Amino acid sequence: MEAIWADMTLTELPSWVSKAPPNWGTAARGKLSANNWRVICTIHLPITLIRLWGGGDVPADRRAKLENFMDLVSAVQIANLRSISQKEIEQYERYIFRYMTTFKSLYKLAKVKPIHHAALHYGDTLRGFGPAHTHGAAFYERYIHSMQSKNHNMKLGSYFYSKSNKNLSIYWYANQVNLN
Amino acid sequence: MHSSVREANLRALLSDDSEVRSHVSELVEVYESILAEDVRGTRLAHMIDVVRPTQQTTDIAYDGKRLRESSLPDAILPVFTHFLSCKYQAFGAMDATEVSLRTQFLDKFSLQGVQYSTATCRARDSHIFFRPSQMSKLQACPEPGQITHIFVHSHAPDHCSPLASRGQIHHPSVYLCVRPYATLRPNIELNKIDQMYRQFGFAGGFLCRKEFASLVIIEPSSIISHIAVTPLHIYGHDLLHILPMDRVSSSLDRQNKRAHGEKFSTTSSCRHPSCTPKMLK
Repeated sequence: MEAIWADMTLTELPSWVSKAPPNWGTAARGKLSANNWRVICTIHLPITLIRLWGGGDVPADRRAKLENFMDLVSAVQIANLRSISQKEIEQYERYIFRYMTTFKSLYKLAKVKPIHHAALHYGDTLRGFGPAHTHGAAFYERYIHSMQSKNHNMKLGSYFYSKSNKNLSIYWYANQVNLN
Repeated sequence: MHSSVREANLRALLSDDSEVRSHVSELVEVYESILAEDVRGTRLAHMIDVVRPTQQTTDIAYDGKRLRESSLPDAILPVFTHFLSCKYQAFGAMDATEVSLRTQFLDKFSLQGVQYSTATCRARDSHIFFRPSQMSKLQACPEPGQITHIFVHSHAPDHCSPLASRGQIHHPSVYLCVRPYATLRPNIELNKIDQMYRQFGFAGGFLCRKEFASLVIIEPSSIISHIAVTPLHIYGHDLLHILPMDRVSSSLDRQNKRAHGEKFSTTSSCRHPSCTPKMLK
């Protein structure tokens, strides 16, 4: 991790790529956003891991884990392209299928989760609906994130009394007064 | 949903009913151009239309109020003259005296919504992956480099301009002065590490020396993408790891493989003897 953090501080990224937290992976940092994970996995980890695990003198299992990880990186890169062709979709399917096949043999105790299954079918989604950003729900994810940060009373289906609701009530009352 | 259904109905009506189509022929032409519009892949037509997979026109924007008039530095002038000679080859060789020294400099511009800057203005946005302009797109090997100058120039003298020869007005064009990163010198250990990165193609990147090759001039349309640059110190050598940030196409390595038999070639641009810039006296 220290090698990855050290390389991260040196990497110069374009301004449109949001930087990942420098202390990611620690308890102090806590959870990362999906975008943070994407930047770490597709930019920072390949730079350091290939250098450390890509050599001929590295144990075979570590090397196999690197190749498995890079299949995932390649698949994610293709799945996130802003424009996509039939050939790239086929390439995505090859990478994700190889990733899942080697994942099962390398990590025998790991469970195959629904997200893995969905990833295997994502080629069909790309084929039917085009590039990811045309049908992605990033906007709604951000909205949900904003909703999650609000105070609530943990009672679903009833009015939740929170700071935002107080604000809404005041806003509604102010409007009523103005109308009258 | 409503707009999608209406659009689907309209498309069906236009393709099935020739009478309607003949009445609104002008509208159809505009409608099809909008439908096939490709603003960084936001249209499905881009994927469906395999005959025309890439955008043909560039979309450059810059703040005209921030243009600074100045003369071309001595280091850039011979390279720029050579660039124009290559560009307007059919119109004969160009002399340096024919190229106007006065030009307007910019700090940044945006190409298809992505901002590129000079190294002095915002270094993060100055690292690019580009195709050398002097070769055809198939032959050209993409290279990494850093933008040093961006300038707007009403370049070609009248006899060299194809537009001028057709009696059309020649608008000023944007040019970039780029210093490419130098390729690795033959070194077994370093080449082995470089190969470790290159075997993963666009996902792994490649290595370069932490030095610059000689300046080149390119047009904005030659830019492929930004790059992530990481300085590394390996076996006592100062190197740079280059990772292309191309979010539009991953076909770079396939394209290069077809043209040059390798994934990412880092040969510097215009190294052919016939294209070596001549220093002007």
